[in-house]
Amino acid sequence: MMLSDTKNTNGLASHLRDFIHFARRRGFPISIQQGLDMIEVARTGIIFQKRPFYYALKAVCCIDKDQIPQFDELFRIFWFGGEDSESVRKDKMRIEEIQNLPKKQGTLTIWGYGGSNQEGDHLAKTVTGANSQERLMKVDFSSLPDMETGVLDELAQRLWREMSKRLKKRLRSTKGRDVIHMRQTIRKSLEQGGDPIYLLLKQKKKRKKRLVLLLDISGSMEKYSFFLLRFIQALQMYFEKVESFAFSTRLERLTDLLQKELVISDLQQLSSRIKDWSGGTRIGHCLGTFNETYSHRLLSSRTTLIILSDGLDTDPPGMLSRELEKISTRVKEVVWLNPLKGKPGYQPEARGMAEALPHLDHFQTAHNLESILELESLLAHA
Amino acid sequence: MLDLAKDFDAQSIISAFSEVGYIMDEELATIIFLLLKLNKPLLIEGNPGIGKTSTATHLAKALNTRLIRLQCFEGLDLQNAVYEWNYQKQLLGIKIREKSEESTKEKESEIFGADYLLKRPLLESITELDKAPVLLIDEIDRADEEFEAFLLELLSDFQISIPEMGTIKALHVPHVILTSNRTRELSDALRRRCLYHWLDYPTPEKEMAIINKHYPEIEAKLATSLVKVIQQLRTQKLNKVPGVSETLDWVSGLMALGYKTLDAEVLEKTIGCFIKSQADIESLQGEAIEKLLEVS
Repeated sequence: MMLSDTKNTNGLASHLRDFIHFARRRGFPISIQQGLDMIEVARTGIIFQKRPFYYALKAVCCIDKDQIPQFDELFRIFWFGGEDSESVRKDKMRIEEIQNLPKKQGTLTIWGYGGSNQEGDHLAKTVTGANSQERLMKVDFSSLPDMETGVLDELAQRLWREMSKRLKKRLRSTKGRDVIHMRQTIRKSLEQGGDPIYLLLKQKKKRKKRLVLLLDISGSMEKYSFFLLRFIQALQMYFEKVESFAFSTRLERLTDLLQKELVISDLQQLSSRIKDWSGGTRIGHCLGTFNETYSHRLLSSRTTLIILSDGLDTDPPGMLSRELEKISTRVKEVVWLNPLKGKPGYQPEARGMAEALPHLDHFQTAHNLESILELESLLAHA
Repeated sequence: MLDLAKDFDAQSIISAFSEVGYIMDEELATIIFLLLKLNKPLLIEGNPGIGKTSTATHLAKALNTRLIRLQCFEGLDLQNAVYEWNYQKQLLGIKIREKSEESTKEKESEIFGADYLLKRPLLESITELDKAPVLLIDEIDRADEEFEAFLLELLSDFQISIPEMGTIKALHVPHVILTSNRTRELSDALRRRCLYHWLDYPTPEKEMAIINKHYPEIEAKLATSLVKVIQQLRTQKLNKVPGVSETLDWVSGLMALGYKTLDAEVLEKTIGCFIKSQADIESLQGEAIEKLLEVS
């Protein structure tokens, strides 16, 4: 469609409507209100000039900087044709390709929810009891037989949720004296003829604490990442301000994905995202990406940053230490959870870990359920 | 000056802003045009020091109207943003009326009358009598989510209800500009209610124009090499990337010190004008400075 077609104002509304549908079909959200706004914009007459028309539509449709490239693309294709058919076809092909991808078992699918595991689940359930629960609490995630994964997952979910709820309910003692709420006090004093006999007080509003989690999902962490992911999800469901990321050779934001109840297909999706990230763990590099892209938004003196990783870094020496130092100066606490620490005789000698240690406030393990539950006190002060 | 009663377009907005000392490109002018025509709030996002706030201050100048500014911060509550009662005056008022024959109800309605009300920016913006003011809600990302929700309501009806007085509706709907540094994600609801503009670092040409607007007496050679250095700096990985305000600070510094050309020594002496982080200054010592100058 060419812009010149739109000279006729009657047709314009329907062209705009087509554009909205076109954009929505390609995953660009445009609300009804925005659609109405577009019509209003059109009425101002701005629409008959090429550039202002583009600027105006962009200002109405985009609600975030990140949407601008996609909008530009859609705008160009729809209003100026060009490679329309070509790119639309490619679009379709890509979608089909994705849909037809053989559902391979990625790292995470094997863990927890492989096809054959259903059977394991069933079998395992029959042997649960108080004793086995206690045993499961202590078992290292990496040495867990496949068959018990489902049971442990269920147990873990329950316990973590309880823990998260406890954390949420915990009361804090307030520092300092309360302040008089003048407005309410005066209101009340009218009943007594204007003498403020009853003082009504107000308290300072609680400042929300923030939690940022960085989960290592590289090959060496494979055995742990599923459970740690579930743990992060549990935290995310009950804390208000949790941001989570996964990293191995690249950094990926997980917050959106984990906001809903994690279902099997999500895990598959995630594992397929992760699958092509083979290679070593570039912790320093990923922390660098984090610093560049997210740190100014997420880190503050109220943030607790938790890194879940074994600290086996393949980046050049010094990088991890440099990036972590940047983080540690900006946050309240940096916590490193290393599942290897749970192994008897473990010493943080790996270069990555040794480099990180001076910048950490807490260094703990997270290799089994029990150790994760022990984090409660740490989180309570987070 | 821009007269809203007359016909205007993006071009007349550009020239009105230029008159009051603000260089504006066609895109932002188009959006300002929509802001004025459709009475929709505008959300401007961008890196610090790039002219988000001054867009609003200059809009007020260009329209020759009042600028009402609400600086957001964490813990900003309605008492600071909307209205508060003048408690001392109220207490006195109660005492004065102690002996009067008025009923409690009458007393109450007096004590909670307009005389005892302290207007804060948001209430002020909708009770302006003459003409629509410009309401600048600065750094909305610093305010809490609760406040954002309240704002959402205000921005859709432009009315505020005070329990003791009733609902106050806007006489003139203010021209609202919100700015954000993206330190927190704003809700989609608020975003959708607004026109959106991402203000990017200016192109070299625009930056030159801005410098010339503020310092017409600057020598062209100095300005050119300065802009090149700044533009070069923005491509590097710095903790605090210099914005337009840093550029202007630097120009004023150089002018005050009477420098006519840029060399390594001058740059090193005045680095504090445009690089505002110790780590960045350290990373720019020695060779790095030479390299910057090579480009200019």
